[in-house]
Amino acid sequence: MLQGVLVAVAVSLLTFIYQANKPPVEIVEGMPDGMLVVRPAGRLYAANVKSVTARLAAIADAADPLPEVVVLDAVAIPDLEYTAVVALRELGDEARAHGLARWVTGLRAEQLRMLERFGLGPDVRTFATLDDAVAAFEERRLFRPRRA
Amino acid sequence: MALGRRAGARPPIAGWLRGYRRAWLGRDAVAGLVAACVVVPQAIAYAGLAGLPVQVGLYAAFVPMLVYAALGTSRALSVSVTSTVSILTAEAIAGSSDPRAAAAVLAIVVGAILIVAGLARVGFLADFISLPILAGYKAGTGLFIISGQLGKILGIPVGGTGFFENVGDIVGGLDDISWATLAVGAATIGLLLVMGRGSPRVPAPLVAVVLGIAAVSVLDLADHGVDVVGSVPAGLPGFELPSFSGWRDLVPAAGGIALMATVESLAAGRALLRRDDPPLDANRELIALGAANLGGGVFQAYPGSGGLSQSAVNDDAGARTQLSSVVCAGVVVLVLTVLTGVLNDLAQATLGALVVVAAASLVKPSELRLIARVRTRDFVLALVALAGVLVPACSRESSSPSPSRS
Repeated sequence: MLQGVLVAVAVSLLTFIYQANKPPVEIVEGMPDGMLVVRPAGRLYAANVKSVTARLAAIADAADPLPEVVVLDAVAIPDLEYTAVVALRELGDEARAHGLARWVTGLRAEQLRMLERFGLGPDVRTFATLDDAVAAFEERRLFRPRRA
Repeated sequence: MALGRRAGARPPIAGWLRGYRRAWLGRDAVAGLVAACVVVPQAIAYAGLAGLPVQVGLYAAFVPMLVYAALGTSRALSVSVTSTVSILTAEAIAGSSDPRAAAAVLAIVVGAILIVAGLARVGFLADFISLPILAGYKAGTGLFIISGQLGKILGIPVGGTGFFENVGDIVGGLDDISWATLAVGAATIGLLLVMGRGSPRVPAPLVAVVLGIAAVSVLDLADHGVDVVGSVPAGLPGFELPSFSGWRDLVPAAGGIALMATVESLAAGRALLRRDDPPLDANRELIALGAANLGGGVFQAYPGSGGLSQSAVNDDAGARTQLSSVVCAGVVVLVLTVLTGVLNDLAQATLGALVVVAAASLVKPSELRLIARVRTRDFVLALVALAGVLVPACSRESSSPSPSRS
């Protein structure tokens, strides 16, 4: 009888962990051409960040043609652990190595501070909201015609 | 241009052998020789850390390295012994009636666990390690190792049962310092630190060992109170199924070692990945490490894993394939068959210094400071992990002699 309770608790915990480990990653629709916006939803911690970064990488890979700017919209991420900060930075560096511009939007003040203290990485631009980023992208488009 | 890495079809055993180009031979040979200059001193030193005789360390750098070379997916990973796994081994076999058999059985159990984990495809779990907790654990391990090895450098017997107990033994035994031993130890540490900053290409551990042996034999330091390794049995380890009745008690420790070996080896493998390297297959790595440990266990070794320091040296020296590890294992064979006499005058203080400098690199104050700056809650976790290593004392008596206090 006791063992049954333990099994039930163990299964619930494992299910919870499994679900928490696959936070959804949304590709935001309606963005200008050349601007890829991804929006992971949920807390990012050690046990789930690699699944998120792998999916972000796969999304960027699959984008055809390759976007000019990849935007991480963090509005749906309530919290970030240190391990997640490191993983995001690594992803950003790899994106940079592939010639992608990286922007981040929707960070809360504390999250922005954390990322800045760790180091966002060279040439990463941050915006308070996604709308700000879209405006900046269209302005950039005016002065820099689309690559052939 | 692929942002995400996609694993290719499974390569056959020793996939690097197929399509091997003659042009690579020189690079792999040089890399293997250079790596051996670090692997051999570390194997000798870490065996002592594990509480085992010197030659067992060399056995652990022989068969396991070859098995990994045949089955592993990393180009430059060097599989032998590491400080973290060695200290875990020491704790697991402490107080046992037959430490060498216990260590070999431990390697077999570790190997079995790793293989099962790889077959069950749980390699992804290694991606879930919290970096602050790992940093705290490593820092604690480094400090604990240093506290134990300081005894070797000062010539004071240290019980090795726990960090605070070790510090107590050292402070209590300061009257009995052997100045000759301290001179050897301090000089070796100084040499390693200076060379570490200077030319990374010249393997500092080998230079330290050679100079240490020369100093002891020329100056007759063994007669001045400097402990030396003494005679080391020559010869390669034979196949031997170890028997140890208490093996069931080793399973929890083996689990911890398997976890540590996985984290270390995968981190090292990833750190060495270059753009055109095929991606690491975590589950195949687990199987390869497991097989390496199994092989070690039946050839009188103790648990091992892929170490970052040895692998980085191998990589920096130009390793193109795992043939470099085969060459390195060849050097180990040479040492075991022909050069064991040279080790007679190797001072324990030299080995202690090697371990202390290596263990100090586990303690990363800059990383801990960064964690503290970025997220205080995570820094607290790191401290808890660090305390988790330092505070508990071994429940069993360690195999090294207890200090006699006057």
